[in-house]
Amino acid sequence: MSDIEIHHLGAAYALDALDDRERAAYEAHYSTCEICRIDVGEFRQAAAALASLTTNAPPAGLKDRVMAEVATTRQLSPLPPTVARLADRRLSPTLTAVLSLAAAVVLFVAGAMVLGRDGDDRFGQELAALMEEPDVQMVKLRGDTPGTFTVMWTGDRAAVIGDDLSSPGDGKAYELWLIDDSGSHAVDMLDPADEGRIQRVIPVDGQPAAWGITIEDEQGSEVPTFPVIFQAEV
Amino acid sequence: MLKRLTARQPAPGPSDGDPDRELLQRVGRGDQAAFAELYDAMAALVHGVVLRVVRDPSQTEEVVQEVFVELWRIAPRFDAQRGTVSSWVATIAHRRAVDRVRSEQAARNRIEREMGKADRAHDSVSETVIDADHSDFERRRVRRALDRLTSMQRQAVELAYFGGYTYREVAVLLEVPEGTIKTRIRDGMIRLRDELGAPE
Repeated sequence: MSDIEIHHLGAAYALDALDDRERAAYEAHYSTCEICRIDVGEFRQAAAALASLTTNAPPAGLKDRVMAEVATTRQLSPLPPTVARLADRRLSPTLTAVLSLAAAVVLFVAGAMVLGRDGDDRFGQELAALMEEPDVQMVKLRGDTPGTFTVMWTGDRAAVIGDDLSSPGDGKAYELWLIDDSGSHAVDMLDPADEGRIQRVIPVDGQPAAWGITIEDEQGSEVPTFPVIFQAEV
Repeated sequence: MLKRLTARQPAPGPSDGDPDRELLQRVGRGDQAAFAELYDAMAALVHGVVLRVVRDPSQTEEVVQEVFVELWRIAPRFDAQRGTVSSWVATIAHRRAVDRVRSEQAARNRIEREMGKADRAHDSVSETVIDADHSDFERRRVRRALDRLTSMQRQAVELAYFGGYTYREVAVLLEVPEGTIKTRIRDGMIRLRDELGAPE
């Protein structure tokens, strides 16, 4: 889908008239496009006005059922997800570690195959060394934009693997943030050099409660610029 | 400085005059009495739009219940910058209704069943409009705005919104190329937006 075409999907999006695939593509686009964000806001307001034409009172018993379910339903934290999860970590550290390691082994094998193909042994060796640390953890970051980010880390360094990433734009780069209880700390700039791939081992300082990726000017930023396009709580 | 990720400042939005905003803030703080008020204020809006899309009354009730429980759950995250409470509620209700009809059966089956009923689908929107209570200022305003669309724009917008169809489905129903429907929807929504003007 061309850029111009995707700009023109705002009206259909606001009417919920895109299929799942187009909806996902448009959502990835409009979160980074100021013009489309304004379009969607205005079109949604117009679409919602249509609902006033169909008002129809529900059956009387429904309110009681809704109120009963609400009484036993916990509300979301008012904070955005990255932060909200910090106070809401339910998995035990042991279980997290076991899950992380199991996934990490799978990743390592996949990573080694990729590396074998490219002959980039240095990253492979650093990754292998990191894997042997007893406290290594791994998390896959979630985002709506194309590509994947995976972070594996120990107390002093992190391996970052990005695949199938789109270009962050001219003069822009991805920036990795370590988020802990005191806020967001810039880790490093990540430039998807060729074929949208990033393979880096970077020194880190501190225990992350979450990882985040934003797009910043390529020289880097001291503070994150929204939106956070990939994130995961630990 | 490092707290930027953790502190999105709510700024005064365009909906400062929204009468429901204070009610929703109370809901966001876990006030169930306020939620009961919100239900009373929004139940006909939510039930109406879900019924229009889903059609089946008992499934509609399930979806309406899901919508209100979801509103309760996410109320603490309501962002007044994004518009009025009633428009936010209608957006969530419509999306849930559409998700229900699209997951319920393959879209192709639904189209086949509805083929040839497109004209009636269009008519029944008008019936709903006529059946509704006309005294409401908002409804008159919306109907006046809809009247400014060409009949083709209006048909495409109404089939998409009230029928819960994707623009591709609308194209099949009307036997018109997809690109044409995209254009009609876009032009129709631009005109609707402009006629409705800035939100009060």
